Amino acid sequence: MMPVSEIIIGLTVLLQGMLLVIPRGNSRSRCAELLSVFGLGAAALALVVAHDQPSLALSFEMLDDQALFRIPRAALLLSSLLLSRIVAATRELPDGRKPEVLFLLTILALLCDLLILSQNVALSIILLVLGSWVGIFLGGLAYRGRSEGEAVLKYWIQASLSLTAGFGAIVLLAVVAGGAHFSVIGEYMRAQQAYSPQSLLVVAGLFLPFFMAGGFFPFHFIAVDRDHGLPWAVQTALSVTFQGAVAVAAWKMGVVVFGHASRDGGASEGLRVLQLCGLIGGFWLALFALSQDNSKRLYSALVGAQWSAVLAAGALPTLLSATAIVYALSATFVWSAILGFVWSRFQEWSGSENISSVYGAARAYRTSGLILLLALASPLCVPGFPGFPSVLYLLAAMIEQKSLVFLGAEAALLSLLCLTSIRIGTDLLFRRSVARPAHSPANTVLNYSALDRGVILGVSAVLLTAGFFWHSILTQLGTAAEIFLK
Amino acid sequence: MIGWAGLLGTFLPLAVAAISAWGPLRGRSLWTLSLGVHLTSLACFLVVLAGFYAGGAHGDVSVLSPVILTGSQWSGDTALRWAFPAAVLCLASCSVMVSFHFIARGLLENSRATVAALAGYLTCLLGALGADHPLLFCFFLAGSVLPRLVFTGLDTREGRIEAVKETAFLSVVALLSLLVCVLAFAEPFRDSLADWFKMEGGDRVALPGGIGISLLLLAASISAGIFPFHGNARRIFQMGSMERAVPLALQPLFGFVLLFRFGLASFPQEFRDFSPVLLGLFSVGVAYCSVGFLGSKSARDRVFWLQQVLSCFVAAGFFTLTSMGWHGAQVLLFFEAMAIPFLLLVLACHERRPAMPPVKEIGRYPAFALSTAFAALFALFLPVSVGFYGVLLVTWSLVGVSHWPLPFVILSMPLIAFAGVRIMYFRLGDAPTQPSEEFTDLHRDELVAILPIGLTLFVLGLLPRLLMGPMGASVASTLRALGFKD
Repeated sequence: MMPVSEIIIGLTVLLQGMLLVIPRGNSRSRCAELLSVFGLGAAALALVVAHDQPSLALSFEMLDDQALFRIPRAALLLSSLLLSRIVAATRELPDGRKPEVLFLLTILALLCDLLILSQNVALSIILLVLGSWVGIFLGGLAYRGRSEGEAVLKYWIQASLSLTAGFGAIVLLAVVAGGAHFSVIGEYMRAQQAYSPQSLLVVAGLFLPFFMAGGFFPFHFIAVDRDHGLPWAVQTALSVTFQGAVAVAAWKMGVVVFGHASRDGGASEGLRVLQLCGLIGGFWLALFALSQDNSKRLYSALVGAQWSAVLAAGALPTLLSATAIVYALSATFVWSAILGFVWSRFQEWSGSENISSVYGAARAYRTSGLILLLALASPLCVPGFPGFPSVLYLLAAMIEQKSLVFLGAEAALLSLLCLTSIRIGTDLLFRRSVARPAHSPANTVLNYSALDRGVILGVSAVLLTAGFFWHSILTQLGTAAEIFLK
Repeated sequence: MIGWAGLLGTFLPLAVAAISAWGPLRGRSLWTLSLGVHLTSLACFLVVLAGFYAGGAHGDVSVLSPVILTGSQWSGDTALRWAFPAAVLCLASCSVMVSFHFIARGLLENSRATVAALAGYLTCLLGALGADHPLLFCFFLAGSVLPRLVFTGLDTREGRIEAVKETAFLSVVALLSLLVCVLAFAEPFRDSLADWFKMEGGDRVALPGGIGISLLLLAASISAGIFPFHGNARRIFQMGSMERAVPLALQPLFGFVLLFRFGLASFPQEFRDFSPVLLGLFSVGVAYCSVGFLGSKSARDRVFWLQQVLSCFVAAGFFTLTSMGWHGAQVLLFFEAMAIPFLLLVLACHERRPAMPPVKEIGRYPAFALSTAFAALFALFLPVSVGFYGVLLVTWSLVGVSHWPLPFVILSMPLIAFAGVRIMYFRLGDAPTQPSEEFTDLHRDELVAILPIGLTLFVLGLLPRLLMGPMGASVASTLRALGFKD
C-alpha cells in the first residue's frame, strides 16, 4: 500500500494538473495556491502524525520508507509549502503562470521526496535528472530576458552533465559491482580493500552525479552562478528543496553503501569523501558569502554552505551521528525556507538584487523583521530553536570521530556560517533604513495575506516545537536510526 | 519554596519579551509592565537571599530546571542552583535592570524591541548565574547572543555596525568553544564519548587538559571581555547613547561565573599548573589598565579602564586559587556588577546636560553632587566602598602565593588614586567647566535610577560584614569541596 503522504502529494499534483486545463482567471490561481498549501501541509502532517505506512508495495525494492527519514521528508514538504507562498506573492512571475509554477513546485517536492526514499542508484539518477529538468522548466516559465535565459542555459548544461555522469555511473556500477541497488554495491564494497582503485571508482561513480546535480563541491559554484539569474521563488525552491533533498539522499546512500565498510572504527572512504567535500565546499561558500553583495548569490551560498556543513559531520555511521545529521538537515530545510520567504520579499520590495538596497528594511516593517529574527534565531544557536541542538549534536558527532583537525574545521565552519547570518541580520535590521522606493509594490509584497500569516505561524510553531522538545525528537530519531543502521 | 522563587525570578522576564514581541501593549503600559516584572524578579531574589540569612547556613538552594531538559537523563544535573555569591549577583543584576528602566524610560517606551531584548538578556544572565551544569550554562550563554545583538544593534551609529557584528561573532566563537569543551570534558558526555584523546586513560595529562582549559579560557575571556578580548568590551562604550551601556556592563558576569563555577571543577590539575602564569599576566594587567585609566581622555574611556582594572583584579584573585583570593574576587565581582553600571548611570546623567558647573558651584545641585561624590568614592576604591575590601583581600592573597606580581598590583593603587584626583580637580566630565544657566539638578527618574544602587554600595561599604561574611563562608566551602586548602 502506498504511504498516505505520497497519495496526498500525488492527488495534489493531479488536481493541480487538472487546473491547468481550466481557462485562465483569478479563481484558478487561488485554487492552485490553496491546493499547494493544503496538499503539502497535509502530506507533511501525515508523515509525522499518521506515521505513514511501513513499506511501499509498488517499490520493486527501489524505494525504502525508513522511519528515520520521515522528519526530514516532512521538513522538505513544509519548506515547499512555505516556498509556494513566495510564488503566490511574487511579481517576478506573471500571474497567469503561477498555477503552472505551483504545479511544477509540487512535482519537484514529490520527486525530492522519492529521491530520499530511493535505494537504487538508477532510480536516484533518474530522479536527479527529472528534478533538474523541473528546475529548468521553472526557470523557463519565469523567462523575462537575458539573465533568466542564461540561467536556464546554465541549468540545462548542468542537468545534461549530471545525466551523462549519472548514466555513466550506472553502467560502471553494473559492470563493476554487479548491480545498482545500494545493498548490492554495499556488498561489493565490503569485499574491497580500503582506498583501493575499485572502491575509489565506486565512490566517484556514486557521488559525482549527486554533487553535480545538487551543486556540492567541486561543483559548488554551479548553483550560485545559476541562481543569480532566476527569480527568487525558483531560486529558493532549488536551493532549499532540491539541494536539501540531494544532501539527504547522498548521505543516506553513503551510509547504506559505505556504512559497514568502516574499518578500525574510522570513517570509510565514501563517507570521508562526503565529509571532505562538505568541509571544502562549505568553507568556500561561507567565505564567498561574506564578501557578497548580491542577495541571490549570498542566499545560495549560505544555504549551500549550510548543507555542506551538515554533511561534513556525517563521516561515521553511528547512532549519534545519524541522529545529528537527520535533525540538522530537517532544521535547515525549515529555517532556510523561512529566510528565503522573508528575504525574497524585501528584495522584491526594493526592486534590486543587492543587499545594500534593503539595509534596515526589516526595522521599518515590523512583521517582516520578526519573521527575519525567527529565521536567523536557528543559525545563531538561540535556545528554543533547532539551531542550538543541531550544533550541539553535530559537534558531538565530530568529537566521536576523534580527530581534532576535523573537529576544529567543523567548528570554524559553523562559526563562519553564524557570521554570515549575523551579517544578514545586522544589515537588514540595524543599518540605516533605506528610503522606500517611489513606485514600491510594498502593499502586495510586504503585506502578508491571511494565508501567509497562517502558514508562517504554523511553520514557526513547528520550528519552536522542534527547538523546545529537541530531546524527545532526537530520542525518537535515535530509535529510528538504530533500525536504519542495522 | 525558595528555589521556586529563584526559578520564577529567572524566567519571569521572558514573559515581557514575549508580550513586547506579540502583545498589544506598548509605550507607557509596556514600560510599566516591564518595570513590574523586573521588580518582581528583584523581589524573588531578595527571597532567595533572605533564605541564606534566615537559615544561617551558607549552603545551596536548588530547583529543577524547566521543561527543556526534564526529559533527559541528566535532569538531575541540569538544575538551577544558587550559592550565596550567585544569589547576590542575581540581585545586583535585577537592581541594575530596574534602575535602567528609570534612566532610559523614553528609550523603553519607544522601542518594543529594546524591552524584549532587555528582558531576554536578563533571563539569560540570571539563568547563567544559576546554572549548575556547563551545558545549561551554554544554553543561557547562547540565549544571550540574540538579545544583545538586538539591544546593541538598535542604537548603533552607522560607522559602528561592524563592531556589533564582531561582538556577536566573538560571542558565537565563545559559545562553540565552550560547547566543544563541555562535550569533550564534562559529565556525562565524557563517558559516552569515551576515549577521545585517551581521556580516560592514565596518561591524560598535557594535551587533552591543555585543549580543554584553552577552550574554556577562550570562552571565559571573550564573555568577560578581558585580555586579550578587552577591545571587544570597549564596544559598549562607543554606542550612541550611554544609557544602553548600563545593562551590557553586566556582561563580564558570564565569563567570570564560567570560571568560578565550572573552571576549577572541570580542570583542577590544569588550573594548578597554569595559574602562576595567568596570575602574573593579570597582575601586570592591573597595572596596565591603571595606566590606561590615568591616560584616558574621555569619561567613557575612564569607566572602561576602571572596569578593566576591576576585571583584572577579579581574574588575579581567581588564579590565586586560595580562599582569600576567591573571597576578594567574588566581592569585587559583585562590586563590578553594581559600581560600573552606577558609574554609567551617572555618566549618562552628565551627558544629558549641556555643560558642567565648576566644582565650587556644584553644591547648588545637591542630588547631582551626591551622585558625583558616590561615583568618585567607588571609582577610587576608598575604604568606605565595598570594592576597597575586595582589592585588599586580593592583594593580601598574593602575598602568600606569589611575590613577583605584587609590585604591579601595588603600583596600580597610586596610579588610580592620582587619576581620580586629577579628574576631580581638573574636571568632572568632558564638558568645559564654565557655569551654565541651563544646568539642572537630577530629576526624579534619574534620582530613582541612581540613588538605590549608590546607597546600597555605600551601606555595604560601611557594613561589609553583611556581604562578606556569608560570601567568605560560601567561597571557603566551595574550595574545600574542590580539594583546595584555605
